[in-house]
Amino acid sequence: MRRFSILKLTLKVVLVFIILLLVVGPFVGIAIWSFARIWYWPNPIPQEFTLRYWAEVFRQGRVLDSLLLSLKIALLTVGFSITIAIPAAYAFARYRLPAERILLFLFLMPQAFPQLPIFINLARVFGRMGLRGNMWGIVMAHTMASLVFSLWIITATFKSIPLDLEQAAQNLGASRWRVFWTITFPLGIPGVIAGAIHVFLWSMGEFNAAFFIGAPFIQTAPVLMYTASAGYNMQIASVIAIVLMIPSLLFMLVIERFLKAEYIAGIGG
Amino acid sequence: MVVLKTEGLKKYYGDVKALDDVSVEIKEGELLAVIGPSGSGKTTLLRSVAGFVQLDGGKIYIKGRDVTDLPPERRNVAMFFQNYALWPHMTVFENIAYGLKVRKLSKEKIKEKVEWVLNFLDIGHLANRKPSQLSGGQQQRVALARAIVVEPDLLLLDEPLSNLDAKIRMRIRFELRAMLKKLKIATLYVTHDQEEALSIADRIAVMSNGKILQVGEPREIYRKPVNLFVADFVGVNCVVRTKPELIKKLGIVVPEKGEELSLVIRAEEAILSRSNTSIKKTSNDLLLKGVIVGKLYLGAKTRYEVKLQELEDTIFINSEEEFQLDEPVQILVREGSYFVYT
Repeated sequence: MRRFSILKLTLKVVLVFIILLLVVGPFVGIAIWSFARIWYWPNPIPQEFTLRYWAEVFRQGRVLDSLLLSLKIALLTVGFSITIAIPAAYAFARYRLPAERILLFLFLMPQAFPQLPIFINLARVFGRMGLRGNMWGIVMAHTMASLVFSLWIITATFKSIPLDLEQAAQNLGASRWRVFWTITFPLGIPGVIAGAIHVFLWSMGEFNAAFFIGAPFIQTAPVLMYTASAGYNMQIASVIAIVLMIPSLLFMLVIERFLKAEYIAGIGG
Repeated sequence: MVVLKTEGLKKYYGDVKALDDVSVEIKEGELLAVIGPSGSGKTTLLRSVAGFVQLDGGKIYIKGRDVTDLPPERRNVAMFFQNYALWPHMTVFENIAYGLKVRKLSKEKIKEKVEWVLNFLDIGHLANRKPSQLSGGQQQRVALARAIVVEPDLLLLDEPLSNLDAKIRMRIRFELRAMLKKLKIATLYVTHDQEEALSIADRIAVMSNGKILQVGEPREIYRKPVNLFVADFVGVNCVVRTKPELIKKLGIVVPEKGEELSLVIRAEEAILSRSNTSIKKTSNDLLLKGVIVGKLYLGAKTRYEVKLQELEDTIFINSEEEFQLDEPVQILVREGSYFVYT
């Protein structure tokens, strides 16, 4: 009995350790790097610390600019992606569409194939349309590619809402439109939020499309990070990585507040 | 005045006939119960009237208005869903007020009506709760309140008591009937529970395989079932399949045709006694001899398995009396408590 519980405990500790290593490990590495002046292998911590790189990042406007650009693109992408996904998801969830599988597959395409050639190709098309080096070009690319997340998540949510709940409203005289906005949509909000978070985080960290469509004229944060670390400036890249995390964390915190309140309780009922 | 009239409703799901030429009528203030086993088409009938089923034929009239092709939201019928279908993101008050808001009533009027129905159903104290905070019985009342508050032409109840536990169900039967009578609202009531239908309905329609087999008042359905299915479905029965000669020997007039006949015995009305007790019987009563071959204690009563002497079959009968295994007994079934069908 006792030995058994010790074994369990050991397993637990090991498990927690592994999880920490996987989840927190990379972050800790980045955090340390951002303060390191000299850090050579095999030292566990840097030989010399400095705040120089943090100061440098904030002195250079381009880091904050690119961060703001990323934020703008991500928010716009969320807006478009969700707006398109909601009606489409409702149709997928409630109606038998002709060629449903093919349609869903079409939405999956940008994610299913290696993204590099897709975005390089898209960049050429956008180039002709004057969308290269343009924020809207990236927003369009991100919207297209992120539809698969938002659409699938929201479709699943709508599908999980019992048809009875809609029929009860219809039965009491509500039009389809009214049923959707008073019953289906409020009940689907958790899924919409989950989709929004996913799209936001994905867009904030997306590199390929941002690079091929935006660079060199405009640089999103991940692209800037890439150029920094490609120049072997681990410190600058780390600082940007940390700064890049802040809007994502804030976004998740805000959204999580909504999630908690009443909707979570609602969806099971 | 006729509130609901359906004419020859048809609905096919592939080869299955869910509705096979179904015509029913409900008069003002009348409660029609549709009973039948699962798959008999009773729920399809209810959902057709609500407008949720695309019919393959037939017409539906509500207060003389042809609603066959109208969408559900324009029929002014209110449906009670079997699983209540309360909206989890709204309070009880909001749930009930929904239909009134859709009807564009003023805020004061809505408040007044909702409060009336909350009091009528004795759930005023629940107004600000969410459905997830209610017990099953409370949810049932809220669902009912939501349906009746809009004063529909017709109320559709889909198994309204089936999700309640047995003890509450018995009590609610009385309440529900009293309430519907007070409101004088025409009601189509679907249930698989024949006893519930007998106790609540003004008239009963018995369905099987998409067809209506018989429509009548509860007593008529119980005492004069038109065929074997109705006889067996209503009440607690034993059905004995046997040869006509054997039944003739018991002194019953039997239909001429048929190799085999079905004798339906209302087991709940059969009287079990020791074979030596003398019994007053008329010529139309049925007296069967048998031997106890099994028993099951039920509390107030005991359930006996009796092997019939004349009919080569066993039947189950409850009795308050105590009998021993292998004891010879007689079973008295009065006229009107047994039926013979081909």
